[in-house]
Amino acid sequence: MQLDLDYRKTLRAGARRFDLAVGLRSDSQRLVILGPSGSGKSLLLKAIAGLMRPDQGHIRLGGATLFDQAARIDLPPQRREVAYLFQDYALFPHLNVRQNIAFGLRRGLLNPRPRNREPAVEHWLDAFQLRAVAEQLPAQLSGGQRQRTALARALVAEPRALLLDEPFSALDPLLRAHMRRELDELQRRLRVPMLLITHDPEDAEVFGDQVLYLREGLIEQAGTHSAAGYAAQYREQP
Amino acid sequence: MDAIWAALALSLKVAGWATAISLVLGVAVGYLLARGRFPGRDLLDTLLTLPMVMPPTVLGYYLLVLLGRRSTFGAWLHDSFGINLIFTWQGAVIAAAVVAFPLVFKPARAAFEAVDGQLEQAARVLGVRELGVFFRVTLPLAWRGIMAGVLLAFARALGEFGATLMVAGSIPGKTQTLSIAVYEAVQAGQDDTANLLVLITSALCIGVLLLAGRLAPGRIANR
Repeated sequence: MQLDLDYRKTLRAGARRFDLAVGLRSDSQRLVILGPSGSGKSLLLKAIAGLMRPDQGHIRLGGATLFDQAARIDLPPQRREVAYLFQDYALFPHLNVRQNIAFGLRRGLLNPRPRNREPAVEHWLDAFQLRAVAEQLPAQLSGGQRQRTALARALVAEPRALLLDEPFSALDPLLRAHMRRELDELQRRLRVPMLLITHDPEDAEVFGDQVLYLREGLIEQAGTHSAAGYAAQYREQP
Repeated sequence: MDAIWAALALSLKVAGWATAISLVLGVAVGYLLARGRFPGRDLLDTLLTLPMVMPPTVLGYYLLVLLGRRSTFGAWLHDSFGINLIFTWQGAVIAAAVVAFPLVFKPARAAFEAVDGQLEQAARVLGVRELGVFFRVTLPLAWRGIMAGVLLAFARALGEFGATLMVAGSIPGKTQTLSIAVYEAVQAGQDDTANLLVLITSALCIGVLLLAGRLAPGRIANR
């Protein structure tokens, strides 16, 4: 993944003010950004996905310019072709698993049918062992099934990159280790570039070819280091 | 007996049209008020809520002044299209729609505000355009809350009396709805007719309220 970010954003909430100034370049296929909550990690992903508009700077991904304030380029989220895995998955509660996965394959005004037979959806139902629950609503799924459904929904359109927002924080510890392994294997098989943000050093140890540390809106150190070193450093932070 | 069925049919027709108009406008206005950020938003909400608290006769008078042939708008309607709304069932529809409208847009606004914005963002990232996001995510998730309001609006339109009488009058078979027919029957001392009309109206309203209860927003989360 060729990722080139350099942007600023100032957020105000009442008297509080938060400055986000991110500058990073990476060719890593697996980039982890580690930071405590409130450090601006989610905003970083939202800016790449087009859900938050920076005040200035640019965002380039895989050779395409997604945002460039100077050149007045600001692709809407619909045209950025990135996949976004939300922290609590954001599955559509009124659609079954099959419809959720097929959601992005239909661009019109109607949702996919409850018993659609899209080949790509069939593939992911099998790959993630979701066939048994294909006609169930998200509320009826287990935590792992929810995450697999959200991943399948994100990957079905073959995105440029996979953005993951704290993907394991909603899972209990046993399942967390299992889903980490699953995502690890999946990423190696699909070779889809991924950017994962987390506050959990273990995520960085498993996924971080390159680990960056974000603190109060600033990238503190960039470069390729051992994840363990970063994790140690992170643990020392108050 | 025929007069009773005529009044029932007319009431259903008037309430049906009034509800349909309230539905379309109420969803649009509810969405605008829930998502729009513009000056005067609260004032607009207040003005549109007025029909809920104002005496129906006052509303009826406003409509008479607005739609009557002596007003600019009423004269324009008559001269340009040959439309006259006063003392017609279409006039009764407008009166009932104005009264029922707040019962749709209020719950619609609340239902739209309750939709998790992250789900809409998820839909955008998946490549679905704004109109698709509205019809595939926002509206289906708000639908039950809207429908509960729509049924209340239908019951209210069915029972509309004051504004309808002012605008459309009480012409048997033409603008005499159930609730007006009850009044006329009592005035004329026809107790049997009044009894029957009251029973029919009560049964209809109970049915509508039962249906509305089934769609109450509290039940969405459990499904």
